[in-house]
Amino acid sequence: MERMATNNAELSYQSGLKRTIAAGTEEEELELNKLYDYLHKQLSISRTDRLGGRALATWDPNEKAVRVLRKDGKFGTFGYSHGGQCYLENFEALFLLEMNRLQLEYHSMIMSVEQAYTLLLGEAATTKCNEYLVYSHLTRVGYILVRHQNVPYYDNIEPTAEDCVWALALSAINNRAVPENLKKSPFFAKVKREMKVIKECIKNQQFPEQKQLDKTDSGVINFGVKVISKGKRKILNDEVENPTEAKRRCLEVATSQKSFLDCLKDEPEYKQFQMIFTKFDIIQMDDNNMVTDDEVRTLPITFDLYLHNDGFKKSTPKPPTFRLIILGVHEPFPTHAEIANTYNLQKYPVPLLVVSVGESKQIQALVYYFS
Amino acid sequence: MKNINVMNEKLNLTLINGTGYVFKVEDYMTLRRKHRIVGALVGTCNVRGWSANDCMERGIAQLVSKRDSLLRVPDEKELAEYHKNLEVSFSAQSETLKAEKLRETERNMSKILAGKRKKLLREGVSDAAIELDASKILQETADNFVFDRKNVQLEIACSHDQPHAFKIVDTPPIQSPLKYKVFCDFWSRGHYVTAGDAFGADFLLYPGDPLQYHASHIVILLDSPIVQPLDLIAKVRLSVIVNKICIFAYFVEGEEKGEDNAEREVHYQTVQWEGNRDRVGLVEGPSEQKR
Repeated sequence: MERMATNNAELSYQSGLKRTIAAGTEEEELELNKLYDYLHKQLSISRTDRLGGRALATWDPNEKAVRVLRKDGKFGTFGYSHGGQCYLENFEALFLLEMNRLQLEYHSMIMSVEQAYTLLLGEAATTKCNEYLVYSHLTRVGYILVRHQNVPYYDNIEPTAEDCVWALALSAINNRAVPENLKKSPFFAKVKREMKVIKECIKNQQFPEQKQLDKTDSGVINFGVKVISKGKRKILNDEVENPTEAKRRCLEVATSQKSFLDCLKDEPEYKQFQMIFTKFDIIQMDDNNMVTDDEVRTLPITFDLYLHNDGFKKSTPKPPTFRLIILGVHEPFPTHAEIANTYNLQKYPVPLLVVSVGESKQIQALVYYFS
Repeated sequence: MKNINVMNEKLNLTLINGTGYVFKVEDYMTLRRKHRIVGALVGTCNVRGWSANDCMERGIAQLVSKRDSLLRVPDEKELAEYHKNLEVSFSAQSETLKAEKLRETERNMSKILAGKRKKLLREGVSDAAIELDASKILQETADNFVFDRKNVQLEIACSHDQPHAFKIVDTPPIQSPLKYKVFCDFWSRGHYVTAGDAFGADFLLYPGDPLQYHASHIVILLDSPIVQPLDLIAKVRLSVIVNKICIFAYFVEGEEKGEDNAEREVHYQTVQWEGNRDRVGLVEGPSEQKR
């Protein structure tokens, strides 16, 4: 940022812009004064523009919001409509004011930046200041940030019956909201009914009418038919008839296999269960341990973030690239439960960006992807 | 409380977001140059809002609430006067512009006259009949001067320019007594102290203004004198990588917590990498000294 003339010859291990040892020399003094002058100049840049050159807005005391009177320049990403008028969010208004693109009036008097801060951010310590910090930083870098809306985004693809099954399963297990377009699909009601019937069957252990099936038919899962193990009886008979045969068999088992239990793997019953289980999709359940309420914070999502070159349109927005959660100074990062909770509450889940504001007002951001 | 030079007139820190903000450039420069308070710059590069770390300029500044004065609804008379003043400034701009334009016309008068003469000659007027009067041309220019109000230059002030009242408020309660004590201690020894979250520490100490010098020390606050070996290694390695000396600060145990926490002593433990000894020499200053 600041450029300094450094004497590399004098200080042997200085390679950057700043010094490491304060020696109190006159040279340092001159340098410092130059730096201060530069800083002073930077901070003193005034916000001057033509009366007609900036957008115009005024504070509406009834609505407690900033109402736009005249637009200027690209207003595509700013503002929202309410009651036929165009309003700006507090952070948008403050940002435009600081960038010298907006003239804000308070009862027809032009507001200073100090006034605007007092009005729009307030005197009490709230999250508004951190939100504004993040907003202004990311918007200046080039991202488009809007206030978060938990909207389900419709795909043009017709949902299939399988989508409905998955949505219902996830809503039961993970508490994830079912998308609206799935609810309207013709498959949904039918699938829901079928799943309910099957659930009742499993719970009550009632079996549907028994069909005449071949026991060895592996294509159908039929709990109703009990597999009678003839093998056992066979051994008994054999033992009676031929005790030496049985002994030899046992010896065979003992030498060739690791345990006696493994010989059960040859039983048809076992094989049938094996076939049944391969047909299942096993979904891992969440930890069922109850977590007390005060341990789990609900982290509110503040902003939706869009990339600049993605064709953002305020009237018909696409799903955002990320959603932002803002943490204040010294606020700990979210636990697994907390972030999963926030993620599942989204009607259209997108990756989450957790932004932490430091004490020096610098921000650190981490992206959480969910599979 | 340490003796801090009390200025004749205390600086005002506007209360926003529960802490103090500075909007005037001069105030900020004074705070920085004279009182070694750096703070954090917020807003765009031309905003001078600055929120104080731990807000401890008790002798130097005062926290004021301006909400009542800045946000009150102006009455009719005030509004009328405000607008009158604004219009006066606009018309002053108009006058200045007009004067400047006339001056420019005068400067270029010879060229204008020559141009007009040529034009008349082209139109067929005889040389003798041409009557060009400089003063008449100036008059014409003055009469035809139109000032578009839209082009008036308007400045949006950062700190509120018009005189306004303020109300002194109490400083917010100190959340961490150790932090405050350590800050005061190092500040009174002449260092510049800033937030250390960029390096995963609590404070950064500079031998001079952060604009000119790299930080020399990082300060880490501990809740108790006991530190886990892995934590120690992590912090010390960090300090080695960034070429700074690591200081641990903690309250002495075993003392009773009196009514005023400021009575408790703070102990420091400095850790330095032996490999740096040739370059930096033995560490002096706040090492193992109790204050």
